[in-house]
Amino acid sequence: MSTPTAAANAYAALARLTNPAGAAKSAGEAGEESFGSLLKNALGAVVEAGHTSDRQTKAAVSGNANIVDVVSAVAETETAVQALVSVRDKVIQAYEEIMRMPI
Amino acid sequence: MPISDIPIFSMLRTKMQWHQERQRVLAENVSNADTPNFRARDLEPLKFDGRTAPPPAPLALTQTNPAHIAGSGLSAAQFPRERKSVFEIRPSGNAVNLEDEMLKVAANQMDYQTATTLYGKGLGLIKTALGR
Amino acid sequence: MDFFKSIAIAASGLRAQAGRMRVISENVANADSTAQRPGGDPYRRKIPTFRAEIDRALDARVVALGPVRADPTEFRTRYEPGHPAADANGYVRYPNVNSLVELTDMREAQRSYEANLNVIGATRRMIQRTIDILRA
Repeated sequence: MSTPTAAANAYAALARLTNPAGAAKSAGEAGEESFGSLLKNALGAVVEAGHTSDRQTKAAVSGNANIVDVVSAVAETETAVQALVSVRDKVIQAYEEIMRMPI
Repeated sequence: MPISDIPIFSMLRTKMQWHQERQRVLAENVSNADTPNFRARDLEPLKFDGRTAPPPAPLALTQTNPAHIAGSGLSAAQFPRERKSVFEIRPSGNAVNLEDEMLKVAANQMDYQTATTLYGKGLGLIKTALGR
Repeated sequence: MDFFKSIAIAASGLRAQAGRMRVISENVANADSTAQRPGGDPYRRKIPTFRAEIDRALDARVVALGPVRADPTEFRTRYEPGHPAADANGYVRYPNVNSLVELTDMREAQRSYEANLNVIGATRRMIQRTIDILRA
């Protein structure tokens, strides 16, 4: 995806995929939802996943954790963080490209 | 977008928990194979028809008074205590037949490894799509 | 936690079967232990019993070796007038241990022991595969 809008659209499409109940609602307000709010939501979700992963790791260290919970929390957090980092890189790249444009 | 809400991952996670619980029940059966009056038990098979939401989360302990000690030193409001089995256990016939139990243990292990591999590959697909 | 519970449950099975083997080997070793004096009793065969108990810490039903009972069957007798333990009629009472029965019990114990080992091995492999999700 070379343009930020295409990236944002793909991201929103993936979010709709995971939330079929809210699909009708979000289709209506896709035009009004700003890219910033998308990023904020994504950041909140990743932070939440990070908290879960921390809790599970603490439980694993103290020896009374469900190994499936621990491993799934850590693996999903890793994937979420990688997704966020990829989006961040693309956004920064797009920003730099725009700033390079001669006025 | 929480990855944990993608249906396929929550289904696989539920399946992995189910196999974990079943391993415990089968271990009980095998170790009590010679105990008199012991009835073998097994878990109800998992069904995902129409219900892709994970089973309800276990109840978290709430602190009615801030002076109460939290369960395990962590914030009791967020961290659920030891998970009670949310899968139904039912008796499976009479006395323990060791060969049947060993068969079930082997099948359980292989199914669990299948679920684990699918889970790992699913996450790997997402990572590949991200370009990493 | 649940996987380690399974291992603990199977370990209790191992301990119980090992205890059973000990009783069986005691029986086999003492198969010919008569009394020393004419009036005494020879070795009486011991029978191990199992009972299922709830382990509070694990919240699971583990197995434990129950009280070892004495086999109430009659002693064997043999006609041996010269034996130190022979009674007035020259009969010596021998322990009520039947080697074939003990051998079969031993095979059963071994089979159960190996079944418990299999459970531990399978559980260990499952734990390993779980952790491997994080590796790649």
